[in-house]
Amino acid sequence: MPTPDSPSIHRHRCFRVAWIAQAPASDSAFLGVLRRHGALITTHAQSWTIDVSQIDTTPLLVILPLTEDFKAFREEVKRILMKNARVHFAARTDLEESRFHDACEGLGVLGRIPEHPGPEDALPLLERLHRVLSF
Amino acid sequence: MDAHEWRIAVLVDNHRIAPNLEVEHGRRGARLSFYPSIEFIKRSLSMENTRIAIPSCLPGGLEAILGHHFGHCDLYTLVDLADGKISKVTTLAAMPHEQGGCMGPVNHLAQNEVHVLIAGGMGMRPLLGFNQVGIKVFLGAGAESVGQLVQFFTEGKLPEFTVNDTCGGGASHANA
Repeated sequence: MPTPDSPSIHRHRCFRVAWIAQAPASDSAFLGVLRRHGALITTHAQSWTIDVSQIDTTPLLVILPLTEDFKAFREEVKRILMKNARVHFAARTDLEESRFHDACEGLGVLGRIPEHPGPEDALPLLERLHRVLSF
Repeated sequence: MDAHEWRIAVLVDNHRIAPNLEVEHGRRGARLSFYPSIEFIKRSLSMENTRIAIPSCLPGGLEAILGHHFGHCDLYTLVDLADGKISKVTTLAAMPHEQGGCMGPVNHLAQNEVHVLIAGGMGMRPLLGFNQVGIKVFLGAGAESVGQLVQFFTEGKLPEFTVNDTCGGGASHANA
């Protein structure tokens, strides 16, 4: 069973993760675990600044905030999917489960993490990403 | 060019999508489709010579009942058309997937040279995924069997599946 200090579960490659947040989170312990497992993290205030114009800059995973008014979340995910449906998404949210389900319906969102995730939230997300990529 | 939608077919390896191409040509009004081979393009351009996948209940085949969920059906019935006639009927195992893994079935069908999918419902992400790997998706409803649905398709009675038809875009979740 991997731990936050285990070697990368993506041993054979690095992968890009886009972290959408208004405030910088470069010292986040959560992001630190992702980095230790091979993630190259870029931080964006808005998702439209994510560079999907080149294969080598397109993130494998986009982590973005999901609030009670989830229209913006759906629009942001849809806008990226229209360009590349292979990008994966995770929601950073404390919404209750039924609201989360409504917000993500049909978008194929990988999963959720708390609005303020801790290091313990990283591995379950990475494992889920690893599973869907292995298909 | 301005008055008509125009499409560009792009050959790619392993269905890898080139978003830079999409952005560039999207600005000019072009819609890109990505294909693994010239043969795939030829077949997908001809609706009379194509391979159709239909989510089905066991045991599959033309008499089978439709499976409503494209990704969680029992299996797929594959129907090959030659000159608009059914030339071959086979089945293909469904690919189980979990939340967020809906590109798995997309890749599965693309790798089995499916050019057309007829489904009762799906989410936005797999629909866009199918479009991006060059698989056309049609909305199949109102048929009592797979065979009847294929008949509807060959008669041109099925509408193309659009984003507005997707789960979360107005359709019921039962068909997601």
